[in-house]
Amino acid sequence: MEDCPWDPEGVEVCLDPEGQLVDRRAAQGVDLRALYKRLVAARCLDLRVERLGLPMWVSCAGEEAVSVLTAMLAGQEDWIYPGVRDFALAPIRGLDLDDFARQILGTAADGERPYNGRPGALAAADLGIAYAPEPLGLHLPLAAGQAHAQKLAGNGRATIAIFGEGLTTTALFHETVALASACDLPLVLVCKSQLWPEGAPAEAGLLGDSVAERVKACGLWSRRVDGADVVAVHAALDQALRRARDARGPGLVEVVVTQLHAGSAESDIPAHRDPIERLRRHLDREGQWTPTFQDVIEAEVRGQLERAFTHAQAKEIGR
Amino acid sequence: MPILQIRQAIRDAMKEEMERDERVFLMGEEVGYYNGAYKCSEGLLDHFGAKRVIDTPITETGFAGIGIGAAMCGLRPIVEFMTFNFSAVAFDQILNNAAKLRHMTHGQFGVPMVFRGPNAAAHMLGSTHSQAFEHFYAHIPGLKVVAVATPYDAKGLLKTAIRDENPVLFLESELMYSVKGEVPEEEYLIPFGQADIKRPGDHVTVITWGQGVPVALKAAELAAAEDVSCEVIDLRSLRPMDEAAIIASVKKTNRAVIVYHGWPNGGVGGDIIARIQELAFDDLDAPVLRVCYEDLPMPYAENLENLILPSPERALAAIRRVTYKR
Repeated sequence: MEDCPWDPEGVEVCLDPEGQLVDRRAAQGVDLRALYKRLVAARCLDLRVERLGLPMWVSCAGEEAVSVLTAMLAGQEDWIYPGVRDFALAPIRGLDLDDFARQILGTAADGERPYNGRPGALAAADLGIAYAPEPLGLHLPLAAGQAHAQKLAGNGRATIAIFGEGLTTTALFHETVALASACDLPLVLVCKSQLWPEGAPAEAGLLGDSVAERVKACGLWSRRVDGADVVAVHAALDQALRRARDARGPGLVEVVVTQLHAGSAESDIPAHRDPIERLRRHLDREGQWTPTFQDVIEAEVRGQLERAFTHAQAKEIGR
Repeated sequence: MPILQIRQAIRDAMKEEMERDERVFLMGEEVGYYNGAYKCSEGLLDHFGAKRVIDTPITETGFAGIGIGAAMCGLRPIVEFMTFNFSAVAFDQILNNAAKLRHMTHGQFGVPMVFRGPNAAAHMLGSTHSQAFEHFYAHIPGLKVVAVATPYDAKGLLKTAIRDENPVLFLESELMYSVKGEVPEEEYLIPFGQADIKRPGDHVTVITWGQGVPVALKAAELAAAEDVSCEVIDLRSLRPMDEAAIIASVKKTNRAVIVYHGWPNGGVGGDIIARIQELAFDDLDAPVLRVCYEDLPMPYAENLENLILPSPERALAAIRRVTYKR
């Protein structure tokens, strides 16, 4: 395999671009077929909402490993502070699809108030999903506060905050890292970073190194992994969460993702940058993937989504 | 006379002032390579280079402070907020440094600079991206606050703002960057504190600024069809405010309606009413009414947002009320 500018350097590879499992141990106990279904469902969700053409909606195609694995690995009592592109974690965590569609569309169930948030900013207090604030980084100290509460309660639970690397230049990010470090909080920061083969704009938040390296200097445990390699993302997130729950301190997992949605400027992105395609290649090698398997997953998810959005759009109040 | 869009008038003002005075520079997110999120700085990076057109990371607290620091040392920065909603992150710098340094240092330091960008609700941007900030900033002594609604006003007032010796908050509108109008080729400046009568009339004074101007003008048109003649006053600068223009008009019409973006509690609308009752109490034939946002965070949903925004129809209803023609 040729060097590709979209692949991060210096990360441990578990699932290689051809779908070969380089590190079998890392995948032990992980049901990759079940994970694949979740990833495909997340992509279907993204495409379905994108079709609505809602202002302020941002696609997460290519970033699914983060939302899907966070939802799968977070314990029932752990809290998640997502960003606005991490909506796919909500149904996995148990958010009813009708409710999901109402939150996206800003409609109301009978006798309830309509949702007012930006589409993608989901909240489900009963499922441990906090609101994703629109102003950049506003959720990070909130997550640290929640982690502090978990620590005081001594209940062995962790709090997870998800964000993009653009906000790592803000004061809020640095203040959160300082607080997490100073108070030794059970907080897991999950940073989605992009590579910029054509050169990064100033607002990309690149400061010449990786975010994982930067927070190490502040005393945080950190790992940098490839978001197209779901096995590696699984291993790093799992380790960070275990550390937090065992009171071994805060951590940061930097996941290098490649945005694949139609709006992204680059068209020469190789297929192996898609975490779903890479895992599909693996399942195919193992004889666990067929076109029929794919069709069945997609048909099932699309059917459920159609029903949910049809219900939600039938309401009078809403966008 | 050339016809320009507001975004072009803003660009021309910045370009002319940067050519005139090498101390002027522009800084903000996407102002350079992308030519500005709303293309207000189109071509400026090519023309002036990266030393004077500076793309910043997402660091509003930082670059607002850098602007203030540069202004203290003799430069004349223009700091662009991609939207004024992001100025919330920089509020401490604006409130406690920009507005107070001259006062706190006995005039040893001044802060001659401009903070500019789009303000108030646009369309389906939700509660955190739809806020009107003049009400916060006009409250603060040490700041000047300007809101523009035409290309002519945008250019003349921005040039004045850049030359001003004190910090100026210059409020634009995302929905109005494409509004076209005549802009003279020869240089001109518009002084602060001078309102502009956008439509003369005799029966009701309609006071407005920024994004409220097209709403007020449309309402005046609707009222004219009912034989009510409205005088639409565009304040243009909110601090300082052209009290004389407001009072002269109210003394003529004996009625006033204020049309603006922003919440009813506190804010510039209530301040204008206070001035009218103080200076023209005996001239009033009706209570002064405000047509602004409902007292709620902005919903994202389009139909709900439309219920909250000031509309020509709501303004017309207020005009009818003050003329007792319900």
